[in-house]
Amino acid sequence: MTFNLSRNQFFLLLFIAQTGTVSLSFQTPFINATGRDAWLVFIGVGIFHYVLLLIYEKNYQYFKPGPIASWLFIGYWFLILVSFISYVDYTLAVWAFPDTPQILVIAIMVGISLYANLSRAETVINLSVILVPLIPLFYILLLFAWPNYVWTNLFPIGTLDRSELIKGLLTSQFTFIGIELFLFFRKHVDQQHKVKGRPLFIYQSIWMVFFFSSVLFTLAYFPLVEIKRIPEPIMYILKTQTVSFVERIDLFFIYLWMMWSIITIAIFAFTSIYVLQLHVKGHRKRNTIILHILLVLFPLLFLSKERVAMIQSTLPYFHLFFIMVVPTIVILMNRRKKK
Amino acid sequence: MRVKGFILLICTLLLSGCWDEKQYRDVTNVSLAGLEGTPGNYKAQFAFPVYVDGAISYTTVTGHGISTRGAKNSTNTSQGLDTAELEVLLLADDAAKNDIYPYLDVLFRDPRNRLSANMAVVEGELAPYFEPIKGKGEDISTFYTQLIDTAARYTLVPKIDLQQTCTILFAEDITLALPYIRMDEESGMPTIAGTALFNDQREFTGEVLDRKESAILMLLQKKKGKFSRLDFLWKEGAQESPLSINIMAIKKDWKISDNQINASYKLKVSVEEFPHDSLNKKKTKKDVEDFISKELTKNFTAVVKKLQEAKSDAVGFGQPVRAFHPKLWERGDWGDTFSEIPIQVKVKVEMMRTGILN
Repeated sequence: MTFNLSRNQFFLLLFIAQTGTVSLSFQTPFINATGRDAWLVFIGVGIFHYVLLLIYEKNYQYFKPGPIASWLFIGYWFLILVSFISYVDYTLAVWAFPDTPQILVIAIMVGISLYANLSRAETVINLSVILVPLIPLFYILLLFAWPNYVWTNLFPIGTLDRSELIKGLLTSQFTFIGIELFLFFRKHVDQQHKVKGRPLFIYQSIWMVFFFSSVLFTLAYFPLVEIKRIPEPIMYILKTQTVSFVERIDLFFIYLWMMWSIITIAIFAFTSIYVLQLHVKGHRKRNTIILHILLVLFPLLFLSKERVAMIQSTLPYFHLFFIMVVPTIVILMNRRKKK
Repeated sequence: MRVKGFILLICTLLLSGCWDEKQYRDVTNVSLAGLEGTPGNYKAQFAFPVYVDGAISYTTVTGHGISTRGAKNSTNTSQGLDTAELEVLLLADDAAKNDIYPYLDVLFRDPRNRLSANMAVVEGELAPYFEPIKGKGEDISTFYTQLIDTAARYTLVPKIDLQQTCTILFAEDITLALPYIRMDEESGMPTIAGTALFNDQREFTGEVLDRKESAILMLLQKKKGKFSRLDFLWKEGAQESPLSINIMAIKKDWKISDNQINASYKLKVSVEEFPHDSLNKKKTKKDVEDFISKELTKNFTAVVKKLQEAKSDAVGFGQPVRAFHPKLWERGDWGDTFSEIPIQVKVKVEMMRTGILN
């Protein structure tokens, strides 16, 4: 599969992969683990994210995974895809489509990903552009709640113990999911476009503002006891806003989030096929169809709240393994080979 | 063609599935609901429009708890009741004297329910508040919405919707205060009587601030409506003059130590009525400013004292205490600490405008 990415395309692809589904779901478990210190902990998490990006940028030339590492990554992304699809479908069933058969919703979501993945590579890559005008709109809608944000809710800080901190750091890993795509697609960025330095810092800042503000807004809007009851606090904030032109902003947003998630699913599916093609030549169309059939069938096993939670609780551990351990091994081995 | 097809496919996601379609002919939207009774014996009342002889009229049914499921069987309407478009929720004072959250849970949990419905506590039984109001038409929910909205616009009562109620009920550092409605003896119409105070156990204390105290509470909270008018009687020797002001802006500055709270307020006002005139004279202006400052300090202090007696921190003094003064916060239950701690209030008024007269 040959394709070229501009710097903006690359960062947009990365941003949508990282923010898609988790933009709604990570705040509650993260704040439940870290309490009012959540915003402080997230500053540390943000620094770790930036350091990781810098390390990736420095070593991406050496990241040439062999068949074993590639198959491991494909398995990991499959787990992510199943987890995302189950979660999106469960959330849609609760908020918007309680009576629509869940298999139909999954089939439509996966069907769009299939269509995009059967087309040229540019289709998936440029799909994210649809969201560019919509994401700022989502932010403006959140700012409508400004008079209801109680900033004293952010204090006191420094009450966290070690086990809570570790739990918080683990749950914060949801916001990192997709960062490993940097290693796979960085080499496709046009050589004339600089990534190192300011562009990378700007990307990090956008990622940070996006997630950090969602933590701040959630903490400032709800008392801690109430957050425990609300699995999707950002949706809830939007639900409470009244504007004259839309009765239910939350419904408008949930459709936006669904589109966002579908594009994320398409990106992960695209990456899986891309990595598969590095080792298994040909049969791209067949493999794409098989992957998408599995993506319709597997999430059906995880449609209840407990099962969605079960699969999600395993993700941070797998994730740490795939963003730190596997890349480190692959990079070190290739560095040695080169020597 | 492929691109068009793809865009169309994406657009279909914005359409609601036919499985989830809810038509007005299938449901009856409840616009006003009420809850009365005591734990184990709660009774809810719902008002909704029905078509009789080609005209819309409003009828009521009763059920158990706010959930409309219990009411379906007792209604003579052929459709199911739905609270998705609830506009007003009234709580009878006896029901509000107990933890109200368990009965409101159903309204928060269902994603279809509107959380912007107004809330109020009513004096006595619910039934009279659900009867059509003379000269106001049959749509009583609109009447209550307008009544509460107007009072909130004039800074007479807090405008608190369902979601804000829930958030305050779960907060440890502020207590709930809801508009209090009673039947006016002369007109026989529901009228805003003031503000019902709740304690940190989520229960109505039985204490009600009157309309003037209620307006002061709003200023203490720094939550000014569009208009905020206060009336005084100014005296200079034997002379008396009515004096009305409109609050233009409020600044608050709370200084909290472990054994005292000093709450200073700076109010910028415009004079609306002052037949005595001569406000262009520096001395008169200063005299009037000092007079209003003194009166408001007295009024603010009286309201704070009443809140302390009711153990109801509706102003939210607990918010900075919890955030920045752990020693004071951890002294014990905040309701008790709040009722005991000395709170000094000082109000300073600055006259910014005198209208088109001096």
